[in-house]
Amino acid sequence: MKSNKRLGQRRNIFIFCMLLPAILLPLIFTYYPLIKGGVMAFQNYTLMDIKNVSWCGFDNFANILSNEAGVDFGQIAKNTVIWVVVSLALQFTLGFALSLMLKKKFKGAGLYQGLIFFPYAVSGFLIGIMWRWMFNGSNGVINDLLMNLGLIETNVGWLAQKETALLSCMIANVWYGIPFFTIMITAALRGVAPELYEAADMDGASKIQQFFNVTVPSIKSVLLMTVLMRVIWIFNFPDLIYSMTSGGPANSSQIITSYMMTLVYSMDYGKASAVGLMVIAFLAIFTLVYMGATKYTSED
Amino acid sequence: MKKFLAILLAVAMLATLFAGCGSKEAEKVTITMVESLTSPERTATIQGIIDKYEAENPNVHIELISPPLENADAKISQMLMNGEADIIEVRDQTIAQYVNNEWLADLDPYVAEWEHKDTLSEDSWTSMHQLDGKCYLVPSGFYQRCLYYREDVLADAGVAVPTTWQELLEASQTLTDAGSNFFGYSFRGGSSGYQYIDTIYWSYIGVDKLADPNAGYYLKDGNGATIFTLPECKEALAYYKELFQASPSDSIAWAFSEMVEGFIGGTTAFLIQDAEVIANCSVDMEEGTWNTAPFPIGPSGEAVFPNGFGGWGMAADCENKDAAAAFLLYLSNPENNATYAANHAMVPIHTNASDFSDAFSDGYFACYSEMAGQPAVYRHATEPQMYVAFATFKTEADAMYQKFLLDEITDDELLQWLDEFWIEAYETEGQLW
Repeated sequence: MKSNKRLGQRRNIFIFCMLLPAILLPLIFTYYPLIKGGVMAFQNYTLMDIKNVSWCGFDNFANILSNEAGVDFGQIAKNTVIWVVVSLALQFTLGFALSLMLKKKFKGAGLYQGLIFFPYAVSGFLIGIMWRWMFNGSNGVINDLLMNLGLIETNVGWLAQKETALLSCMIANVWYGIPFFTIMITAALRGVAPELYEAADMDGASKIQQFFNVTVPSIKSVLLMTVLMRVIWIFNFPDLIYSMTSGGPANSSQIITSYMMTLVYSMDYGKASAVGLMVIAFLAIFTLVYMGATKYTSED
Repeated sequence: MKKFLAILLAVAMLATLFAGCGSKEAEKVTITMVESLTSPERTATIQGIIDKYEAENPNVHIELISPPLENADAKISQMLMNGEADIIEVRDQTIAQYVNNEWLADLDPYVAEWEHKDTLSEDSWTSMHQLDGKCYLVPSGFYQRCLYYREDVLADAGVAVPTTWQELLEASQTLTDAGSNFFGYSFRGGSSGYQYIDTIYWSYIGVDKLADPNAGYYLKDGNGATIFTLPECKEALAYYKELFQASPSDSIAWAFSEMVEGFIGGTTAFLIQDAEVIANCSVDMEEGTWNTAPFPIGPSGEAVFPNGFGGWGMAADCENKDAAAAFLLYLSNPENNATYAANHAMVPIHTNASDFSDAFSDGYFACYSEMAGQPAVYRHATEPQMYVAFATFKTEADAMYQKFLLDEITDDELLQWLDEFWIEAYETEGQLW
C-alpha cells in the first residue's frame, strides 16, 4: 500500500518535471517580457540613464499622443491603417490567385511552388535592403526598367518622396507576403473533396459559381484565420519600413511599430513600451471584434 | 551492482572535473573583449594583435567577441549590465550612456604609469577626458572628415577644388546636370543627416562662441542659451537647402552607404566623409579620377567638424583590472595603433605614428596632415552627447530637417524647435559640460 502511494507520488513528480519546460519557457520568454514591458510603459526608463528610473504615470502615453515628441501620431496611425489594409488586400488576392493555379498538379509544379515560397524564407531586413537598392533613385533597377519601358522620363526618388515612400514599402511587403497566403490556401484547397466539384458540375454550376459556393465555403475557416493572423503580422512588421526608409522622409512612411523601433534605438524603453502596450491593446480589441463580426468558431 | 557502478562513474567524473580546475589552465586569466564596429577585416587586425600578446603572455587569454555591427552596441550594453565584459569598444556615440550608467572604470591610474603616454596626441587626451574629467577610454583612432572630389570632372569643367563652403556650393551648382543624372554634392538627408548641418552651423559661427566644443549647441556664457537663435544659423540653413538642391533629390533619404555609392558610382562630384571611405574609393575608383582635400572653411574662417572616435574602455566591475588594463594599453601602443589605424583609415592616436607607417602623411591622407598643421582653422566640436535628451534628439532631428527641406516647415519653425528642445534639456538636466 505504502509503495503504491510512493509510486504515485513519483509518477506525479515525473509528470510535473516533464511539464515544467512547457510551463517555464512561455513564462520566461513570453509573459515575463510582456509584464516587464507593461511596467516600463509607466516608467521614465531610458537606457541612457538606467540609474534614475522612476514612475511617471501616463506621461509616456500622453507624450506620444500629444505629438510632443515632434512626431505626428495621427499621421502614423493613418499610415498604419493604409499599410495594413492595402498590403493585406493585395497579398490575399494575389496569394489566392496563385493558390488556384497551384491547386492542380502540372509539370514543374514543385519548382514553381518552390520559387513562389522562396521570399518567405528570407529575413525581412534583408528583403528591405534588397528593395531599398532596387528603388534607389539614382542607380536603382526599378527606375532603369521603367525608363526602358518608356513609363518615366527622369529618375524617380521612390523612397525620398513623401508621395511614394510608403507605397514603395507596400510593394515590397506585398511581394514578401504573398507566399504566406499561397501556402495556407493551397493546403486548404487540396483538402476540398473533389466530389463536391463533381456534384456542382452535375448541377450545371459554372466555374465562378463553384468558386463562391463550393471553394470559398469549404475553406472559410482557413481564410478567416489566415486573414486574422496576417493582419496581426503586417501590423507587427516594421522590418521592411525600417530597412527601406527608416520611416522617412519626414515620417511619411512611419507606422506604429516602426516608430516603436525608432524609440527603442533612441534607448527610450519607457515610451517604446507604451507604444507596444497600445499595439497589444489595439490588436486584442481588433481580434475580438473580428471574431465577433465573422462569427468565427473553431468548428468552422 | 548497478548502483555501485553509477556512484563510481560519478566520482570519476567529479575527480576529472576537479583535476581540470586544479591544473595550470585554471591560473590563466581570461579577458573578455567586445568590439562594436565589427567587420571581418577589422576583427582580423585585432585578432592579430591578440595572438601576438597571448604569445608574449601565455597566462592571459583574450576572448574577442564580435557581434554583428547592427546590434553590437545593444549587445555591449547588455553585457555591461550583466557584468560579462572586461574590455569594450566605446565610441563617441556611446560613451555618455556608459558613463551615465557608471559602467566604465577610470583608466587614469593605468595611463599615468604608461610608458607611451607622452606620445599621445592632444586630440587623444581630449577624447580620453571628455566626460567628468576622468579617463574612460583610450582611443583607437579618429574618424575625421575631409572633402572627396572627382579630380577628372573638375579638371574637365575647369572648376577649382573648393576650399570654403561657398566655393563648394558654387562648384556643385556648376557641375549639376540633372538631365544627365549628375549632381554636385552627395547630400546626406537620411539617418544622422543632422550631423552635417551641425558642421555647417559651427563653421558659420566659429568654435569660440560655443560654450564648450563638446556641447556645440550651447552658447558661451549663455546660461543654457542655444546657438539656434543666432543669425548665422539661419544663414547656414539657407545654405543647407541650396546645397541640397545641387544634390540628387532622393539624397533627402541618403545615409552612409547611399552617399558613398553616389560618389563612387559617378552620380556626384563631391562627398564629405570620414577617412574610412578612402579604402572604398581606392578599390572601386581609378587613380587620378578622385582625390581628397581639407574640410571646407566657413564664413567664420574656421572649418569645424566632430573628431569622431572609437576606443577601448574597461568595465567598472571587471574582475582582473590589472590584466585587462595591461592588454588595453598594449593594444594602444604606438606600433599596434599605427597598424590598426593604417589598416582601417583612421587618424592614429600617437604623434609618432609615422615612425611605424607611411600611410599617414602620403597620398590621400595628405589632407589630414595639412589640416593638423593649421589647428586655428581646422577645429573640432560635437553635439552635447552627454545629455540624456540627446538619444531622443537623434531620432527626431532627421525628420525635422527633412520637413524643412521639403518646405513643410520654415527655417524659423525649425530653429525654434531646436532652441526649445535644448533649452528644456538644459533646464531638466543642468549644465553637463
